[in-house]
Amino acid sequence: MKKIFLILSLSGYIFCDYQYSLEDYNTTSPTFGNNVWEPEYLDYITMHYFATQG
Amino acid sequence: MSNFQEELRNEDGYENIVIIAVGQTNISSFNNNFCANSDLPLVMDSFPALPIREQFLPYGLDHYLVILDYDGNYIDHIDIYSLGNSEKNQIRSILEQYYAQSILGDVNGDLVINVQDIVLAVNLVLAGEYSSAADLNSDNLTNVLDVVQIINIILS
Repeated sequence: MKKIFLILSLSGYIFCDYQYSLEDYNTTSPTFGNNVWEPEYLDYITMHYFATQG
Repeated sequence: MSNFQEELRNEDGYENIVIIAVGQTNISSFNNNFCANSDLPLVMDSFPALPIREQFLPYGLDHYLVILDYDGNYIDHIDIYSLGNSEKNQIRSILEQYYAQSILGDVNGDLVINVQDIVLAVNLVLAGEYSSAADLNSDNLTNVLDVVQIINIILS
């Protein structure tokens, strides 16, 4: 039973398309200095906005 | 974008939603401007390899907003030059379509009915607000009868 639970738990990570854990550099963010998107925003709908030169 | 995140959380009911800016170590103008105008998290993609963009390809492009579900699965993306009403509505539409088959009683939309939904439902009742996800008896009201039904679902 424990093995099944472990497999089910890991499958969420194995099958997710994207994943990263990086430090939040925005000093005005409530999560400044912590790692996002994981673990701070695990189980969140996440929207990732990519930087632009313009 | 901070305001839009708050709108999605407070007005649209997506309690667990976050917008993360993916800056680049070589674009200080974006990083500084973003931090000056926002309280959203900002992560740095290391130039020149840019591993985050690489991971998000073909969607990890300049001013693309990539939307992922609770499990990190791709939902959709949009190209945003500025976040106006049109773009906001487009994002709302994407989320609504993806979560159209919401579960009655799943007030926070995390696809699970648990004590968090009870707390949210009670808060709705106390605030006199309405949520279709919390209206289990379909009487167009969110009240104590709905809270009781959510509790019964969990107990059963």
